Parts: sequence; C-alpha cells; structure tokens
Amino acid sequence: MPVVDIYSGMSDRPLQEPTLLLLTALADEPRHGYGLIQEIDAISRGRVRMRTGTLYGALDRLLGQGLIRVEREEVVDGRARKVYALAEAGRTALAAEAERLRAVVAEAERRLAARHTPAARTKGALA
Amino acid sequence: MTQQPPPRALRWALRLHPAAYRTEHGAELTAIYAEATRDAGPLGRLREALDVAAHGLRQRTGLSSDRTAGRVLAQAAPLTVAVATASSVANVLWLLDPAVRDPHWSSSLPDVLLLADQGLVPLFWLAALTAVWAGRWSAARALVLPATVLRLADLPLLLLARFFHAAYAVAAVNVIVPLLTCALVLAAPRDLLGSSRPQRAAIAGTTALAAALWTVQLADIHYPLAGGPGIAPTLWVAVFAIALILSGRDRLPAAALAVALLPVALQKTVWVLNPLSPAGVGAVLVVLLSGAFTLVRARRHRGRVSPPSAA
Repeated sequence: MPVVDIYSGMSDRPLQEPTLLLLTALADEPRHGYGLIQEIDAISRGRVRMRTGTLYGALDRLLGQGLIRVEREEVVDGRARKVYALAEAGRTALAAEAERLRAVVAEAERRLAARHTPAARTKGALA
Repeated sequence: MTQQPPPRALRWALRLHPAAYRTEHGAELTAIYAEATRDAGPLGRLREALDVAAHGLRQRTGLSSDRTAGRVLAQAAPLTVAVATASSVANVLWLLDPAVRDPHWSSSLPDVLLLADQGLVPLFWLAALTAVWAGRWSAARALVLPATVLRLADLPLLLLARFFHAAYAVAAVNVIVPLLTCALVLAAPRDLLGSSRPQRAAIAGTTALAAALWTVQLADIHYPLAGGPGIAPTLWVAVFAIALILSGRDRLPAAALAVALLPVALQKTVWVLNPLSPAGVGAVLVVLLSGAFTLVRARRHRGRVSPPSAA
C-alpha cells in the first residue's frame, strides 16, 4: 500500500517530518496530547518541539485521514484529555515510510562504502 | 480537584476558534497547553498561546491542514518565498536603474535610507529561501517577518522621496503586497511544512520563472516590448491566470503556484490600471475570467462529490 500523502491523501510522496514523528510516537503505545509532545521531543533528540496548536492541527488531519484514532477519553487532575492510538492505516503508512527510509539508508551506506574501496586498494598497493 | 480557568492569553487564543470547535476541543487544548507550559517562562507561554491562536484562525478560515485550502497553502508557502526572493532582488535592481530614478534621486536622506532598506530586504528573503530549502521552517518564518517590516518601512521613505508622485493606489499596493506575502507564508499549516525535497524542482522552477518575468520587465525599461507600456507587467497576470486555470483539487501544484504568484499579480494589475490602458483592461479581464472559470469548476466538482453523511 502506498504511503498516504500529506497533501492529497492519494499519492506516494514521503511523509513530512511532523507526521512521521507523530506516527512514530504512537507506534508502540497510545498517548495523550502532551505525551506526544514529549515523545516527539525525545525521538527527534530535542530538534522538533511541537507546539499545542500545531499538534492539534496534525491530530485533526490524521484523525480525518484515518491514520490515528481516539483510543479513550479520560480526566486526570480535573483536566479532560484524549488518548490517541495508531490506526491500522497509520501502521501501514508508517511501515511503508520506514521501508522507504531503510532503502535510502542502505543506498547511502553502499555508496559511501564504494567511495572508500579505491582508497583502501591504493593503500594496500603501496603497503 | 477543580479545573483552573485558562490564562488570559489562552482564553483569547481559544476565542479565535469557531464556537462549536471550541466547545468540543477547548478543554483538551487547555489541558495540553497547561502541561506544555508548566515550566515555561512568559515568552514560552506567549509563543504557545500564539500557536493555539494560529490554529484557531486556520480553523475559522478553512486553512487547517485537514482542508484542501490548507494543503494548497502548505505547497504554496515555499513557492511564495521563491517569488518574494526574486522580486526583492529585482526591486533593488529596478531602484538602481538610472532610467528609473528621478534627477534628485539618492541625493537626499530618505533616498539613501530607502536604498539601504531595499538593499537589506533581499538578504532576508535569500536567507529565508535557504532556510526553506533546508527544511528549517521556524527560521524561514522568523526571517519573513523582518523582511516584511523592512519592506513596509520603505513606504514612508518612498513618499518622502516623492517617488510615487500622485499614484497612491500604487503606494497602497506597496503595503498590501508585503502583508499578503507574509500572510501566505505564516498561514501555511506548520504540520505540513518540513523537508523541501519533494518540492525542490518546483521551488527552483518558480524562482527561475519569477526571475525571468522580472528580467523581461527590467529589460522593457530600456528595450520596450511591442504592445506598448504595460505589456511586461501583464505577463505576470497571464502566468497567474494560466496557473489558476490549470489548478484544481487534484492539481495542487498549479493551485500553489497561482497562490504564490497572487501578490505580484495583484501588484502588476494595479500598476497597469494606473493610468488605465488597454493592457490594464486586458489584465483585469484575464483575472476575472480565469477566476470565474476556476470558481465554476470548483462548484461543479463539489456538486459531483457526494456530501458527507450528517449522521
């Protein structure tokens, strides 16, 4: 199945980073809004700090696209919050994106190794 | 434990959301905001509230990332930066052209300040374009703000330098165009902005297109095109109209290009209407016809798509 496009929801364009990070944060367990902000911060090693409005916009979109679902609603310390989980379509989209990224990494490593090979040979010839 | 009322900044931000949306999601937005700003200072709380406010405005205007308009805007934002960059460079070249300057030009303080101001604007736009290319959207948006402020600051200088003569409509456009450009970049849903890789060809192409159109216009000063004055600016309007006609729900790149060209197309339409010329009338007709065509097609498309169930 192609990766769901962030723009049209139809083609196989790669996921944008905020979407990828959100889906990744939900891959192992359901999380509430602030839990997602913390998890995205951790996954991106502090590089991406998703703010409340941006997170909520993304959650609305992913819910509409059927990539995530509301697992349950709960009240903690007098505050209402929803717990979000990855839907089956989201899991498939994330797996496809991971596969695409894996292929890119493999190709990058292959080319880096290929670049090093002539240098190694030269060194061997001189030795 | 009873729930604390939201702080004032957040209350204002929540008020910008549509009432129904606020009723349904207000409590959760408040909860996320409260946790996200638990250890934040005043600036951090303000930035968080501004982000909630921006989300509310997008919801109210139909520009959120789950709507087609929001998705078009997300694709248009990098192209808008590309057009603005080319335009700011062309603007400096235009101001430096001896054929454009009045005899007293650059001999007074407003003129010198104006040239310095205009010289800085392209630097900010070039930095913003570089940030967009690198996928650094926070930096890009931050750079668009000073570029816009500087561009707006040159209006009183232009008036002091008596550059506009009596064309106050052109002066008004000099306010509207930078504000519209800035709004197009800032209004794009942040969660759809990231790596520029899928759009790099479009960004490069749009920059080249804008540079080519500006080059034709600059060349027109010294080597007038056939068709009389106003033909070169009308080219912008023509390209905008073509992009508008080619755009559609399934053709977001063309729609994004039309949105990115909109500020300059507007500027050029006003230019060719002051004074009114055949080229100006033609430009307005082209814009009206292409806009009407796009609207009718969008309505037909909406009619074909069955509405979502109300249940």
